[in-house]
Amino acid sequence: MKRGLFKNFLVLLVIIGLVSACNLSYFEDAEFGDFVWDASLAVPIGEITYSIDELFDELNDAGAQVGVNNENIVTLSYTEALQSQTASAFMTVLDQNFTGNVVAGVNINNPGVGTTVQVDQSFEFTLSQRNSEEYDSILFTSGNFDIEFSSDFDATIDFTLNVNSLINKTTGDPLSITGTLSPSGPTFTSNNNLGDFKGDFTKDGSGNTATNKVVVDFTYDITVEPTSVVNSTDKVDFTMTLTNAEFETVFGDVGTQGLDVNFQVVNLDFFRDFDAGGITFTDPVFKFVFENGFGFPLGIDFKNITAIGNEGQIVPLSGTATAEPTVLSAPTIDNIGTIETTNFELNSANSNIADLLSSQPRKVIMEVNASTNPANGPDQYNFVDTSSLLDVSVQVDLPLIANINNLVAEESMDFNNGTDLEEAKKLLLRVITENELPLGGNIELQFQDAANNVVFTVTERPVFAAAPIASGDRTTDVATTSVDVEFSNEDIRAIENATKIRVLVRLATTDAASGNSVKFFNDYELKIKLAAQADVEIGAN
Amino acid sequence: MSAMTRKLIIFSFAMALTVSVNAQAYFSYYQLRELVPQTQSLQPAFIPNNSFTAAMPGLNMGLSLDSDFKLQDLLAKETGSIDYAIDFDVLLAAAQDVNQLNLDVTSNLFHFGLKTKKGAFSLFGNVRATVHLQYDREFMDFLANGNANRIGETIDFGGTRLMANSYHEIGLGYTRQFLGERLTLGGRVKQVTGLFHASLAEGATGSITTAADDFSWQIAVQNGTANTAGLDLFLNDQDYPDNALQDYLISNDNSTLAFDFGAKFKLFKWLHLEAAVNDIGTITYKEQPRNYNTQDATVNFSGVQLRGIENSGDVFRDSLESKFTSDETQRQFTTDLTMRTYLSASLFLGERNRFTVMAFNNHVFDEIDPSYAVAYNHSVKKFTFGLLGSYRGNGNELNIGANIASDIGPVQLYLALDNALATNRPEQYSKADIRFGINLMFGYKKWANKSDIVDLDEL
Repeated sequence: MKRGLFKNFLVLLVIIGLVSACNLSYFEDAEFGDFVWDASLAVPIGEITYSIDELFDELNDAGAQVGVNNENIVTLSYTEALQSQTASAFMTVLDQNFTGNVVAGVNINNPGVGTTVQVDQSFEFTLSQRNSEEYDSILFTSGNFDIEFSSDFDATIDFTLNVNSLINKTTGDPLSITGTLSPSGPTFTSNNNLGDFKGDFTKDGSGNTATNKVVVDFTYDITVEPTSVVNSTDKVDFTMTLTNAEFETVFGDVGTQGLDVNFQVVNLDFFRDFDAGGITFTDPVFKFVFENGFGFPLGIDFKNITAIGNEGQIVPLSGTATAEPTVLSAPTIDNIGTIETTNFELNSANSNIADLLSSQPRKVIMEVNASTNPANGPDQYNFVDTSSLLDVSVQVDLPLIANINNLVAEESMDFNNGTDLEEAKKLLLRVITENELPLGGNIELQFQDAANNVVFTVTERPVFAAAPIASGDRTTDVATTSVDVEFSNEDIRAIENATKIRVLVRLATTDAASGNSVKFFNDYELKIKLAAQADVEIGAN
Repeated sequence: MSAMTRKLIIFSFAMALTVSVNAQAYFSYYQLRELVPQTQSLQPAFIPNNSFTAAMPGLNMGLSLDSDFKLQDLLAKETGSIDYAIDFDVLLAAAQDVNQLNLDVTSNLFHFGLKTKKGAFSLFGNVRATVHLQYDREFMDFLANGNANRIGETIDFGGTRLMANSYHEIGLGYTRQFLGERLTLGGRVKQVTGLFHASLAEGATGSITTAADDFSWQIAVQNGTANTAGLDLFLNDQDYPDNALQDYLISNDNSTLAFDFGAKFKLFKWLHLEAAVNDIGTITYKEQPRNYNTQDATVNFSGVQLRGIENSGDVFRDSLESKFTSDETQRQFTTDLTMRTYLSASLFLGERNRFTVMAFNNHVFDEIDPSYAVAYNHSVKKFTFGLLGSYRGNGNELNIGANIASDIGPVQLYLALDNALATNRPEQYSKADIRFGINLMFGYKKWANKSDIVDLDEL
């Protein structure tokens, strides 16, 4: 019995021991904290491949078109349009008047019987025009041609005035005015719409070929009463007034005068990002296309084309192309309403535009002067049609055949990814480039805060190497570069405060120091791969 | 018995303890044997000591958590913090080459036992859940350190396997003695109804190789299928009527038959040999199956096209996903139950003392990786109690278990722990195993016999 009690006691002791040994302090008051995955990940972020035209498109701020020339060389093109004054602004038919009188030429005093005396006279007037303009004819569209007659006869006058230089467009007859003047009604007025007429100023009063001539025949009959008195100095006056004339076409000779052409400023944004260093273009071209609707040849002077450099320096265009005006052909009178196109190139052979563009100009002022009937132009019958206009388009082509030597490009970009870095503790960014371009670059990154203070700098380092050119014009191999950029935890914390990145790129073409230019062919590509190794703390939230 | 035989047996016990062991076992619970009728779930050849048993519904529970890391490795606390954190660095430090996490939760819904002259009948119902996760050190190394320290190398996830099952089982058991009382055979047949499931397909493997130059990934996937069942009722509950989950839990089409078999042989009066194979069967999930499939592929991923990119995280994920052909299907699938095998040899020293050495294997992932234990039980008049030791190989602590059960009737209390020390700062242990319950027991006296146990001291 005692033994059984002992065993029971022993069992009880074990149970008490187990219970009393129970220690759950580890679990007291504890809760699950936020889950955080703390690991170091090597991640291929991705890649981007730039064709060369895309690459320069990025540099260009879309100010230029990026294309290729017939050699498949990438070409930057800037296009601007210039336009001349209109035909109506270039040529105006002046307001003017023509006056004359015709005297009786005989003395009649109480003839006793009634009689009639006829008087006639021709007049030749000259149109007043500007400069040395000589008009043969004008096809009017509107305007006024008013004629006033007055008589000092003490008799009835029946008159006819024929303006031989104004031909009715419908009938083909000259303008003819008839009327009667009497002692009780000594004045007469005729208002005529010039739009009904065309002017023919090619004959003088004698019928000889002339210009700018207005010929008028004036005839009147004097009805003399038996008791009337007519003095030989009695006369009929007339005044022809031409006002507000508008024309459809003017024929003749506009002489030599200036044709105003507006100017344009070509903004070469491509150069805006560049600071120090040099870039030399080998074969830039300014391509002009002139579309002339005026019926006379034009002489174009390029002397006023000017480049404004980075620091305001002025580089004027010079060369043989500026020696004498470039002649633009014109439509003939058989082709009124058509456009005569003249193409002209300013290039390195006829001008200094290579130097002009190698100054890395921010802008080029495109100003051309046009003059009519230049001395070195053809002798051509002139006309001006109301639709006549001179349109000038200019395309600045920069084929990327260049030598770039330590050219520094600068670009600022917004940086708003700071919050994305909150989970990063350490970061290694690997940039791998596979470059077919004969252009290499070192890059420096300056992270700036809102007050433009540099909070962290990734020092300059080669990011993409220029592809080699063993022979010929093309690169012969792909240049591969791998560069690591390491950011410590302190660096990342500093970058979190950045609001923008200032990117400084130092560019150099293959073997730039030799001065050789390289060609950027359209099929070149620059592939950029990004990979990262990051110590991250990723929370469940 | 000769002295040589005795030495041989003791030597065998000692050798068994030197073998690496692993996996949950309910070793201590097993030692309660005929005293607790529910132990038939481990050994169907056990015949209860009493005439009739009625388990208290819902009051018989079991939990076994067994892993290769300590609880404080999983629920780590940083110095000075009282909060838990999942710290993969800690888990990596604790990791072995191959690591297991096994969880078993059992709730005995009901159990009725009837002892007959030659054996016993039982009618029972359980709800069970098992989770088996296996991973190798490389997987944990990836979780702890990412891939950055494995640049230029391949990280192989092929050692990662997952099997999670929950089901209820209702069955009948019958045990009968043969050859007098020397041989006892038991069997149970049960209708198993699958409820919830998640697993990686057999042979599912994956790997990631990080290139040294550009960190690009080569990702390989083979047999990339994850099967689930029943989870959609939770994940998309808005798509189902209110009582859908309840109906599904009570009855569904995922039913099948499974079996438990056991045998007990009294080699000598003082030496009993036992063997049991439980949970033989499969579940075919016909209702609520979901298959998340990724076709076999080896893809290279070099990141995304950066031109014009926005929402880079989404683009990155979409780009990676697009390299794989994945779909979701609702094909039925079949999964094995986690078959369990027990082998034991019991040495009786007198009427009241029993030494047992036993082995257990849960056959998860079709692997043979047994665990072993040696136990001692002592019976007194109204109850039995025992101590048990198990050692599960390098990196695992020695487990000291204990068990106790009363037979004072009609109310029986029992408790079994494979690692009794875990009650004192359980965070320091990698195994927690407990079975407890309350039964109503009747008819002890009818079967009370004189002890047949041979006292070795008298030989």
